[in-house]
Amino acid sequence: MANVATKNTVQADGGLKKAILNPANIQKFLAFGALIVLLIFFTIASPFFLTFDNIVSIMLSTCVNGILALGIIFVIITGGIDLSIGTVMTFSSVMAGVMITTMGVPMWLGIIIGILTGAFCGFISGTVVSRLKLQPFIATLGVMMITKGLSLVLSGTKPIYFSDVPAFRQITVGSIVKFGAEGKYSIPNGIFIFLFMAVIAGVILNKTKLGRYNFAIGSNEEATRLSGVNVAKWKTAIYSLCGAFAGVAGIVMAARLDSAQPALGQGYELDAIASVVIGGTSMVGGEGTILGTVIGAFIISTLTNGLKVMGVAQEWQIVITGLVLVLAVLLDTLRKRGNK
Amino acid sequence: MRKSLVLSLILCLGIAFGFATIQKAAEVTNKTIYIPIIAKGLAVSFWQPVKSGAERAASDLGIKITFEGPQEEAQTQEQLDILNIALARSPQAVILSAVDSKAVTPYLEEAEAKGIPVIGFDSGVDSPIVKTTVATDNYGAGELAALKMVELLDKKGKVAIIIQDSTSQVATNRRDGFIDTITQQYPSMDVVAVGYGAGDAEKSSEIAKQIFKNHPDLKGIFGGNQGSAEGIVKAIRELNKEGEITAIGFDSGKIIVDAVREGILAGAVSQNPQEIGYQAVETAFKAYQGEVLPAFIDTGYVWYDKTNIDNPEIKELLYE
Repeated sequence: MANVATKNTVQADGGLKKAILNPANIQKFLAFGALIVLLIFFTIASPFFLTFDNIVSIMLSTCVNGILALGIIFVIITGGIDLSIGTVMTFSSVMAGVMITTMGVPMWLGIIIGILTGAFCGFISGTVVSRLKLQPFIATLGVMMITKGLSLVLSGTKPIYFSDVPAFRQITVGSIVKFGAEGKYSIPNGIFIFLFMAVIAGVILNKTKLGRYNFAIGSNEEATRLSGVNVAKWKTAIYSLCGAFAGVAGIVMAARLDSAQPALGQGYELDAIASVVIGGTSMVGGEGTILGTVIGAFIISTLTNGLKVMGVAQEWQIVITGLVLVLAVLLDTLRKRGNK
Repeated sequence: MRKSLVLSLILCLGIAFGFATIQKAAEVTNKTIYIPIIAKGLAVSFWQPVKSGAERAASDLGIKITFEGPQEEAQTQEQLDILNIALARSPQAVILSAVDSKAVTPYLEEAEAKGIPVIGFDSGVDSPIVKTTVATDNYGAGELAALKMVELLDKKGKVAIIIQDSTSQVATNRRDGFIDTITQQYPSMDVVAVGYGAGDAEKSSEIAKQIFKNHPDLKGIFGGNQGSAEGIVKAIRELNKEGEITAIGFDSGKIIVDAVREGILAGAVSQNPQEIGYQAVETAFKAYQGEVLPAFIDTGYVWYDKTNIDNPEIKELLYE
């Protein structure tokens, strides 16, 4: 595993041939191929699939899960896990809701406070994991329950509506990109926020010190420590970053629902993890790509959407999504065995 | 490797396609009419008879339906996604029980703009766009429980009620039906306590125990939904109050049905979940055909106790 970090450096340096032969990239193309196969299949299977409305519907349902996945991939690359992102997302949206509606702070400030709330939750998880040496699974399970409870306390268990701040809703469902006669075809802003966050995540992972140390810690934490890197500090930063992404997801979600829903959130972490894994990232850590994760998120929402559009019974939709997930992980394992 | 991924995907999709075609093959006429039913909190057993009622109506009318919804009541975004996809399929009508009426508003507006009628069912949707709501007349159901309580207690004594919450229309209507009837029509009786147990059996049983303690002369208690009634049954069993308190339940489920048989509950008011499902589909079909509909369609409720619980027409309404 130790040499994976060097491989990624090679990729960053742009050796084209090596980049194509890089196993992580092969997996990425596989995921992309699978998405294309899905799109073609559903287009043939149902006349309602390839319509403008439905494609927008797929995009909208991708953005929240996608942003969560972009955050958690950093933690997964360290070989850790963050189970709290779903409820941290909710907590951030409730925090923004309380700030904007009851405390009357300006919308932009409320949004920043929401995102910082997410980052702070990540900071707590990161500190407990890196300095107090708790297993990530347990530590973030604790944070999951704490933030779930706090959301309910803070909101008095009732949804907080943004009806008085009509601009808030426009963050996700409004549209600055319109085309066709009288803006007949409009693409919701939420999807652009998702793509923008993907670019940010890509830059952080591939072009910054944090990204490099992230791969190094995931490949061999002990060796990284011995080479003089302050692992605890960088790990805390990585968990905080993941929390901040959950905060952004919380704002996008609240804007879509025009309300902060305190009871929501649990279970979102699993969809995010599934997106990351389908995108070719290993749960062992040390490797992973942003593009793969974006495609993974689209595969999940395309699959869910397509099966619904086809009218497959809800129970079977869950079974099929599960099958695809297991297959993706199985292929990942086979590929690794092949490499050895 | 690429081959095997593609192959496996094709296999999965083949399964999916198989199920879809099986479903398609089951239809008879009116094949092109499609009405999605979108519920909420499907984890509760109440929805199973609603679903089977809806399926019966669909096969009677020869139309295609789907019955979907988030597993938990709180999953607002899941319901929006389901609604969004349903509208993308250009259905002839939509039947909805909204998790959050405000959050679904833009989609209802989209449906209205496309000329797709929206029918509310069960707790419905709080919006003027909805053509009609098919549900239990909950005020009437509360009234029936009150009248039975009056009869069982011979028009005298103190009573209490435990219900799920003080915010939803379903709960407040049921509560007011019960309280209004007793306090306005029977001055010799009094409602001394109102408990809110979130529809949770555990919480409701704690509240019931507290009420029993604070009012030692309490004669009767009404549990206004399945969870509330289950809590009352639990409290009565644990405090050995069988026979001392006249308790009335709501809906069914194994615990309540057993308690009625054993006499711990004097009886219960049951909704007609099959009928909610059946009439919702029938009404949506009428809405599609342009018929004028009343603002509210009551699917009825009945009283059952030890004496009539095995009658076939009652048995049909009860679920496990």
